[in-house]
Amino acid sequence: MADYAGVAEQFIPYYYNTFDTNRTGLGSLYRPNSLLTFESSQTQGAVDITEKLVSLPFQKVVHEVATKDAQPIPGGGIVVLVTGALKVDDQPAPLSFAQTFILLLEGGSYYVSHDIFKLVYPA
Amino acid sequence: MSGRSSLPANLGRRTGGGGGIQKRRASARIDREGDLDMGGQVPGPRARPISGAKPRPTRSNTASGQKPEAGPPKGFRPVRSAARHPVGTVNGIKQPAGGLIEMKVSGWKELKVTTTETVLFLERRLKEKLRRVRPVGDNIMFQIPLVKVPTVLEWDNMKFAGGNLRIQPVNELPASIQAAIKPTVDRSEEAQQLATLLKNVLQSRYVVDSKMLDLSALGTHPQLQDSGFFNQDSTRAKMFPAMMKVADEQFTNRAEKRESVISVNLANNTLNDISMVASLAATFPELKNLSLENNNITTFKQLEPWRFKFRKLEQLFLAGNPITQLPNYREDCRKWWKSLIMLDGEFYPEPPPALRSDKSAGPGPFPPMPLTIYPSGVIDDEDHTNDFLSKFFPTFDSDRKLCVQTFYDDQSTFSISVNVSAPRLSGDTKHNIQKWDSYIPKSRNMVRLRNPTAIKDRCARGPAAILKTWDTLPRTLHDVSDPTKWNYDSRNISFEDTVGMLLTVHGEYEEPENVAMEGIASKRSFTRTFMVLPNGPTGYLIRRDMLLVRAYGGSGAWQPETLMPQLAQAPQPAVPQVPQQPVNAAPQPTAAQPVADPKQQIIKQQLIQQVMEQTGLTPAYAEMCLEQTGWNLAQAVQAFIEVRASGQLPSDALARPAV
Repeated sequence: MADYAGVAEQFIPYYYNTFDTNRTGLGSLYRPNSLLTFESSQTQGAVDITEKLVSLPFQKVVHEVATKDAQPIPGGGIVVLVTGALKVDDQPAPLSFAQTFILLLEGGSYYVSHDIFKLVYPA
Repeated sequence: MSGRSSLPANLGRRTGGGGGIQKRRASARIDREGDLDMGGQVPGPRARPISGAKPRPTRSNTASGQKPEAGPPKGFRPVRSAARHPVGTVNGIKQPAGGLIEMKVSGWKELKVTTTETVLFLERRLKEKLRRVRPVGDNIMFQIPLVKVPTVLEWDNMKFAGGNLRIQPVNELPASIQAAIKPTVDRSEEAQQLATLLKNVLQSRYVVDSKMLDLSALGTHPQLQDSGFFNQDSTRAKMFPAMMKVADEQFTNRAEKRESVISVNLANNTLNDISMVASLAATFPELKNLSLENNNITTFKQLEPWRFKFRKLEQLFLAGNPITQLPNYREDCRKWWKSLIMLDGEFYPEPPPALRSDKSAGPGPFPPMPLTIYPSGVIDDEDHTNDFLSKFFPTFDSDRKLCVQTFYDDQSTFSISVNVSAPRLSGDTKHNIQKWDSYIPKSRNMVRLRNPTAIKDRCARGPAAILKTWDTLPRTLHDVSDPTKWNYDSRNISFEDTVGMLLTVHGEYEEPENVAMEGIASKRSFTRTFMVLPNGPTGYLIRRDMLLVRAYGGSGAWQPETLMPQLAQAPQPAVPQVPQQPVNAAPQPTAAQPVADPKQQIIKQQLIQQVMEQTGLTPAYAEMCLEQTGWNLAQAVQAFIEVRASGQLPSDALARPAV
């Protein structure tokens, strides 16, 4: 197993920075078989996932990652669990989120196979 | 162990037999009929004198010349033939040397056969008439020549008309016959040696970690080779049943067996059928995984002895056997072993039939749960998830040692991280404690923890390490009775060559010690991500477990009435648009019919995903496959296989190489 902690270390900032600054750029992280569970809705495939993320009804968004943990999974992937706060537009109170990723290696780079996002605090 | 009684009839010399491992079946004994090599093993009970019944004086001491004859019902007369003739005739009937021995056969009445049928059966085998046949109560008494006694005694417990016949001598056997069957005594020593050998073999082939008995390619086992066991077809045929007997004796009860041997590997044994190894089903009836790979099994008939056996079998491997080419091979396998989850490394799309009605048979759909956790996302397998959660958390709360033994194995890993900055439920002070002392030493939050060694160390691998970590954490009490406190998202996910469950669960728990010590009902919120395989004693084997603990934030986040306005929006269409029209001659994928029921859309999307995972098709083609097969997963995958085999799969249909 490659350095999964290092991969997670790179992936997490990249993911949230891209999310916060250029959501369309997230498309490259998914594949046609990727699954996104965003709150109660599910979306499949890079194209639709990107569309879903881009269409989220807020303009400004800032993620603050509070915790991250990662474990290698059998077969060469990584499971990542992130929690943190999400500041949306001008809302004063940040939202709390928990997000699980399954990263799989394909063609020398990792992609997001599963992405499960959940708000966990009633802001 | 007692060599003789534990290895009945397995070690007798048997002649003939072709190449390969020999079958063992009732008729094998028939081959020995008339075999005057007295080496045949005699079943244990046969030597016991039947003391009570003394219908006739023992003839054991009768002088050889004083042979009794088959005569009228009362008494018997000395044979008139000369003593020096070992074989004479009386009334036209050949008389044997050594006299006649009174035997009795029982067990036939239960089999609903007549006296005549039973006698004819025995006579066919003996190739001569039984003498002085008469029913006495539940027994049929008869006489046979002394020299035939060992042969006939070998038939004790013989299969007949669907049951077993008991054949026993009525009286203590004469010294002459004891001498005749003397070789069996030596064989019993041989049996003991063999038992020791087999025990060694078993021990050397037992894989502790995976609880697997690896009996693959037994012919290559050095000890068995040295023993010369495989030089003779005859002994080879008896080796496996004897081995099972020895295996059986290693355990005191069924539970012990169940816990010690989960898997048996019989690959590469050149088996033409399983009759020789059939006793496996009796020895390990609750086996979960069984491999018969690379043998020579061609039909289901050859597996007949195991039909409906192994009621808890989850994985079967028959790859490398011609049987896999049969038209309805997969379906038929499942008819015979209804608990199968996976065949030849491929998951059945449907839950095992046995489990639909039989809870005790292992994992699968389950009866109504005491706990109905609100699923937020869409659940592939709601029953499994609910069942897992309602089993796991109460065990975790009440007995962590049991929990780790039940749900984890050597390859399982656990880590915990603490989010100390998560908001507390506003206005709630009594449930909240902000002391994290007991959690911090184990927290693997990689935002704060930078030391690679610490990061590595804080991921506990294997039951012992996991339990050690858990022991440092406060006791917990998860209330699984209140579904509103819970939320989860569960997905099927392929890993380790099977389909497991990726589950993220959000909830809360109390720390009872704080209640006791500080008088406050302290609660915390948590998120826990599991990767679970359908395996282990409960059918849930946790491979990955990541726990995140934070301040108590309540469960308002997933109550319908408190949906976050910030993120509220029109629901997305669940069925994806067809991304591109596939080019050229391929049939055009059609978008799913618009359906009013969002749940149905979601189910469809799950199916699409599963087809994609199994075939590597693009979403559009996966959907097309499903559309054309009435949204039947198995058929869709089958359709894909057929199209691919026919070489008509469009080049753009695959998103990735098929798995």
